[in-house]
Parts: sequence; C-alpha cells; structure tokens
Amino acid sequence: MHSHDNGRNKLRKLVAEAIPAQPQLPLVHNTDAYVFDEVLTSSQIEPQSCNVFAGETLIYTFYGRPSFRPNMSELATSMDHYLPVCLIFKQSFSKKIRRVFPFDTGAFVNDFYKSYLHRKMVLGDFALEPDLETPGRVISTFFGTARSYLQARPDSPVELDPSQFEARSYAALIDAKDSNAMDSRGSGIEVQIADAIAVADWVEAVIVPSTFADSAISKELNRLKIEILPYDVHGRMRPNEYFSSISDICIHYYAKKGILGEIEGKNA
Amino acid sequence: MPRLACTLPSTRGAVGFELPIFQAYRGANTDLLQEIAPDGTIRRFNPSWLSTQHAIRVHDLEVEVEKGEEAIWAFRDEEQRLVVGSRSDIIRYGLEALKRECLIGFPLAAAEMAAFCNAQRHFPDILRRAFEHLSAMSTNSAGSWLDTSILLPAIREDMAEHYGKRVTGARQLSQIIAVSKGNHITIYGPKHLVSQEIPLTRSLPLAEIFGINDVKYVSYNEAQPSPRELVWKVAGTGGMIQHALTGQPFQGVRDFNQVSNISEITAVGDSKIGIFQRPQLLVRVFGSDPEEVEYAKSRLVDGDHFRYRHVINIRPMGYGTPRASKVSSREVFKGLSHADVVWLAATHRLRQTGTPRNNLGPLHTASRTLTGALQALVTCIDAKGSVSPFFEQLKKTNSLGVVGTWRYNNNVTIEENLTRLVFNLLCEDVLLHKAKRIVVVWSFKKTPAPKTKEITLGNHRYEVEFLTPRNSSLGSTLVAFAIGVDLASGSSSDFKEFCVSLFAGYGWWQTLSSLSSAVMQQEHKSLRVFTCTATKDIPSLLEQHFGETFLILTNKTLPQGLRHERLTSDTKVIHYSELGRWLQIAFGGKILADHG
Repeated sequence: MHSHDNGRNKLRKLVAEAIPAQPQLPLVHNTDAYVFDEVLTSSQIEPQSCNVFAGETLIYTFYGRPSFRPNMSELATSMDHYLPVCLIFKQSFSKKIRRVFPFDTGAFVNDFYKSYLHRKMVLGDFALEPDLETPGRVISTFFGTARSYLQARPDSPVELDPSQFEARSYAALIDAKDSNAMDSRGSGIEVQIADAIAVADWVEAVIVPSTFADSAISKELNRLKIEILPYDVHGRMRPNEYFSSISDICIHYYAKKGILGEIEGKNA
Repeated sequence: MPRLACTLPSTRGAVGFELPIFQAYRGANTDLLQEIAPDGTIRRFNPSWLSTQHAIRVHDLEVEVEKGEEAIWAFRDEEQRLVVGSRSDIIRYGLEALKRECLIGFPLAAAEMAAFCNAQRHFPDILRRAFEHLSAMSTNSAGSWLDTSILLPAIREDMAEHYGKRVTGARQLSQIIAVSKGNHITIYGPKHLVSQEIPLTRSLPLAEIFGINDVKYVSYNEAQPSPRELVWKVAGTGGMIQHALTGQPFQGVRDFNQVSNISEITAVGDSKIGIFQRPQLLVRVFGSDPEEVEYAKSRLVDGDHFRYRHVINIRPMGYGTPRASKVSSREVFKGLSHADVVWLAATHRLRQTGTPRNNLGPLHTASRTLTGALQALVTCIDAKGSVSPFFEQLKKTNSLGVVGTWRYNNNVTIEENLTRLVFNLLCEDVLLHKAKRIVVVWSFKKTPAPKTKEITLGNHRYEVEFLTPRNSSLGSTLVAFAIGVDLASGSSSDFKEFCVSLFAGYGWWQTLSSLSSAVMQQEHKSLRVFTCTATKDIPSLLEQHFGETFLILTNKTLPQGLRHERLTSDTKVIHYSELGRWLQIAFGGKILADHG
C-alpha cells in the first residue's frame, strides 16, 4: 500500500452510495505523438514509473475526458501537449483498476488545487473505490450528467453536508473557473491501471494530429481497426477560441456513437 | 534577439505545420517558444520543456524575431522543405501551393493550409478531397473531421459575431457542439445560444460544400440531477452566525430580508429522496438584540414542517452588566419556548480573553462555541435515516439548555478535559447544577468515549453522558449540551454558587462558607471571597474589611471609582470575568487544562 493511499474515507463512502450516472463513458489515455509511435510499434501501452505513486508503474487514464495535466504556466500547459494523442478505449474495457481519484493526482501533489483544499487534506482523502462504476458515481454526485462532466460544467450547485469537507472542496474545485482547475484543459476523473494494455484489444479510436492521416501511421491504425479522429495542427498554436479542442472531438465522437443522451448523434 | 533553432514536426516525414523552437543565441541551453497574441504578434517568449529529440535543425536558415513582431510559422512542404515566415508569408506560399495543387498527395495538410489561409470556401475540392480521404478509412473519421475541424470553428465564429463577445465568451462557445448527418447539421448548445436561428455566414457556405443545407438548433436538456430533499437547515442573524456559517464546513448563503430589513445567513444539508419522511432539524441562531430575538421568534414559527426545532442564543459579547437594551436570557426563553430547546451560548462571557496571553478574544470563543454546537447538532442526525434518540428525547420539551465546547488536550487527563468542558458551560444566567442531563458529543478518535463520567466542579457533581455520532467532523472538539437547566434567580446565593464553580475551574475549592463570603483554597493558598450582586454594597464591604486579605467578585460593571487601569494582586474588586487574570497575577494560577 502506498503512503498516498492513506486518508479519510468520507468522500469514498459518499461517492460509493451514489447511483452511477449513465451512460458509462470510455476511458481515455493521453500521450504525445512520438510516444504513440512507439506504442504502435510495441502494440502495447506499458505502465510507466510514476513520480506521484513513487515505486509503482502505472497507466494513467481519465474517464471520458481527454484531460491534460496543468503545468507551470498557461503557455506551457498547451505546449507540453503541443501535439497530444488521445486513445479512446472500448466501453467494454475490463482490466483491473488500481485506483480512482476524482481529479488529476499529479496536479494535486503539485499544489495546483491548493486554493480549494484545506492544507491538511492529503491525496488519500480523495481516493475512491477502484472500480469502473466509481466515475459514474462521481458524475451523479457532483456533475449531474455525463455531458456536464465532459464539458466541465456542473449543472447545479451541489448541496453537501458540512461534515463532507473533501466533497465540498471538490465541488468548489470543479465549479472553479481558473485554468488550474477543471476547465477544458484541466483534470477529469483519474483511473489508474497497473497492467499493460494491448492496443488492438482495447483501443477503439485515437485523436491524432491531422498529419497522421496522411502518414504511414494511418495505415497501421486502419489495420488495427482503430478509428482516426484528426485535429488541426496549426490550431494548437493559435490563441483562437473558435478553434475546436480535443475535447470537442471526444464529445462529438461520443455523440456520433449515441453514447450521450443529450446529444443524439445517431438521430441528428 | 531570439533566433529560430529548429522545428518540431508532428511525426517523422509529415507534411504540414511544425512548431518553431527558438533560442536566445546560437548554442543556448534553453529553448524558447513564442506565445502568440490574438493579433498574431509575439506576446513573449517562454522557456520550453518539450523534448527536441525529434526536432529538425534549421541549419543555415537565419530567422531572428523579437517580442511584438509578427509570429513565425513553419510548414514542411511535400518535398520536405521547410517554409518559414510570418503569417502573411505562409498565406502567400499556401495559396500558391493550393492553386498549383502541390499538396494534392496530402489532402489533410492541404485542407489545413486552406483553413490557415482563411480560404476554405475558395478551395471546395480540397476540402472534399480531404473528406473523401478520411471516408476511405472510416465514415466516423470523416464525420469527426468535418464537424469539429471545418464546421464547428466556423459556427463558433458566427455565434461570436452574432451575439457579441459579452454573451459568447470562450467558456460559452466551448459548449457548442455540431453533429452532421446526411444533408443536415444539428447545433447543440446552451439555451441562450441556440434558441433562435442566426446568420451562419461563415459556416453555412462551408457546410454546403458537403451538401449540408438543413440546420437545426437544439438546447441541452435541462439538467436533471438526482432528486434530493432537505434534511436540516441552520439559519440566523447577527455577526456571529455570519462568521460561523460563511466558511467551511457550512458554506452558508447570505440573504437580505427586505420586509424585516434583516440580513440572514442560511446553510442547508440534504439527502437522497426517501431517507427521511420530512425535514429533520431547524436551528435558528440569534444574538441578544430585541429585533434579532423578535425575528427568530417569527421565523421559528415558519419552521413547523421540521421535525425538531432548536434555537441558539448568543449572549452579549461585552463583560459587566449587560446593556439594558439587550434581551435577558429569561426573556429569550420565554419568547421562544415553542422551540424544542433554547440553547444559550455564553462561554465567551466567562473570562476576559482579549490579551496576548490568551490569544482568543471573546468573539473567537463565541464563534468556536457556536460552530462546534452547530456541527454537533447536525452530526446527531443519522445520515441513514434512523431516528435520533438525542433529538427525540428533546422533542417538544421546551427546555432551556447551555452549550459549551472544549478542544481535547492530550497532555492532561480525561477528567481534567471534561472538567474544563463543564466549566465552559457555566453561565451566570442559569443554574448549571440543575441540568437534567449533560450530553457530550464525542468525536475524538484517539481516546474512546467513556460510557458516563462523573465530574465535580465547585460544590456540584455532574453526570456526563456521551454521544459518539458516526460521521462527525468535530475531531478533537468536544461539545457539551447541558439540558434542562433552571434560570438563575439573580440572587446573591445563586451568584455565589456560580463564583465557587468559577474558582473550581482554576483549581480552587471552597473550604468555608458563610452567608456573605466563602473561603477558597488551593493547596496551601487560601483566599476569602465576597460575592456582590449590587454595586451599592461594594463600598461598605471594602470599608468593613479594610486591612484584610480578600477579594470581592461582582457580576456588575465596576463603578468608576473602583475601575482599575491594570489588575494587581492588591486589587480588591473585580468583575467575575477577570478572575482568571487576577488569579494569575496574584498566585500564578491557570485555568484547568489550558496548558499541558
């Protein structure tokens, strides 16, 4: 057991009592264009050593949302993920889950959420039941609907018992508007996996730079029957709010598949 | 001046845009990235943490650029040559390349160049070719690209133009989603953005390239979070409740009642539907000003639908005789007797705590007491819906009680901690020893709560019961509720009893007692104490016992002639709230459990 696993169980209990929001969203794993090339070569996503849960090797995924880790500054945030690749797993994904947190643990240990949390709160206070129903329970408790979660816009203020310190802090965090909180570049529900994941078995679609669609990588993805969802490369460099984001592509994909009840892509 | 050092492609051998990476000078250790302002100029250069393992050096290409100048763009052409320049340079190159169909073998790169040049409408074939290229892989890929890379940015620009920046900030626009199928497209978004058709001057011509000419607007369904019901409500007036409820853990909400001209703060707790049959607990908190008491009375009547109704009255902050304008504890109890219990919070009046030695001023003491009491009351509601014996036993008893809190001190015994807690329940307005029960809400995990405990303070013994709620946030804070106390008569004997109990809080015990005085003792030290409830009696007492060692304790504001600039061991008359200070000066004494 890692030292970060120690904490209060109040949030875990609160979330565990909720009914999971439907539909269940796929897990999304983020990497960069170069690492993705290596992933395709090895056909596996390998767990990597982790500086948060030191001593462990983990694969970090996020529930439904292609979340990126907030970084040192506004610019660095986007540039660190200058050309991200987001792997969307199949909804039937059933690997063993190591841990679930309602937010990005890396951002937590780097104090990006500190203005919303009590200084005595530790990461373990936010650890949730490690199963695939937990993210849906977080959504029904704090966001209302899957679409609200995907767009990082809680539908209504959550009313929580005053004794639920962690839950109240989390509610404040997801309702925050600053860039280190949970906006489109912020964090989603983190799902950690400790075992390697075979790309061909579990990856259904990838969001990639549009240049990939013209390259040999597209042939390999086609061979693996993985959908290619391209985004404009130059849009990543332009400070233009009208450009669509990686999140838009994700949500659109879910809509087209009929995953989101509010956006009936199949019937649109 | 930063110079272009290399460019970072998206993948090996790719045709398309690359990220220019700069260095302050040739061979510099730090790479720099340009931050582009909305007008296309360089706002600043920032250090880059990107790996340049796959970057391509520009070698003899000399490009230097400064902050404020036009940003630099880099494009790798179909022959893997690098085209570098300002936006207008790249547009000039791009339009030429598109016209000459140089990028025909790279349909996505061509489409992206058309977007960069704002020339998509002029190159419909290029867009269609990219769409077909992706369609050959998968219809989902093509649909995603069309909707999110071509149409959605244009729709957002149309909306921004139509509604203006004020309505359509980045956060609003990011909620817009477009999904096309066949010849129609549906635009989803917040109601205020999709409630009417808007001119789609940019997006519709692009949509028409793909045979889309039917636009539908759909607002997101109203949120339907799982229904919840009210379980408890804490509301009140006055500065103290504002302080207690505004922050964690209550996060109360302020509201101004225009009819009563009173500002109120409210915090609520809820649960899933079906756990409780009706709202459980209403707690109203108010100070001792007449208008606050009247307001509490009227609002308590409105809370009939709550199963349990409690009120907490914060006694006046100052020391000495309360102002005539303040409502007495007796009047408060009389006026609010329809509450299950009227709780008095008066710990802050027991001792003057405004000095650096004690750190906590009376406001903080009162605030801590109130916050603790409210947390403890809310905690006593079982989250799973079981009936709370604590509240059930108090229901409709219309009793008077006192609340007090104490943060557990690990350095002293449990008895001393509890003695101090009982001390904090003392209030000159009530007879604590007449309490029918004293219940302590115990959340302290390190030491398990005893079943019961008998505590002696002054001349009285108190049987203390314990309640250990399941989900308490009180931690080491112990909260005591003395239930069913009697109102003090205001007589000198009642006050004397009160003073003996106060002394006990400092470790002094009564050894002798007469009608007018008591002899208090601590180890080998002893002191004769007179208690006085009438200011007029003080001069004669001083005269009668001139030359003796004694102390007069009063519950009245000291008359002008007896007020002291600072306490000394020779001071003969003090208000009871000064007892702690005086004992410390005269004997070095301290209050029980205050320090380890």
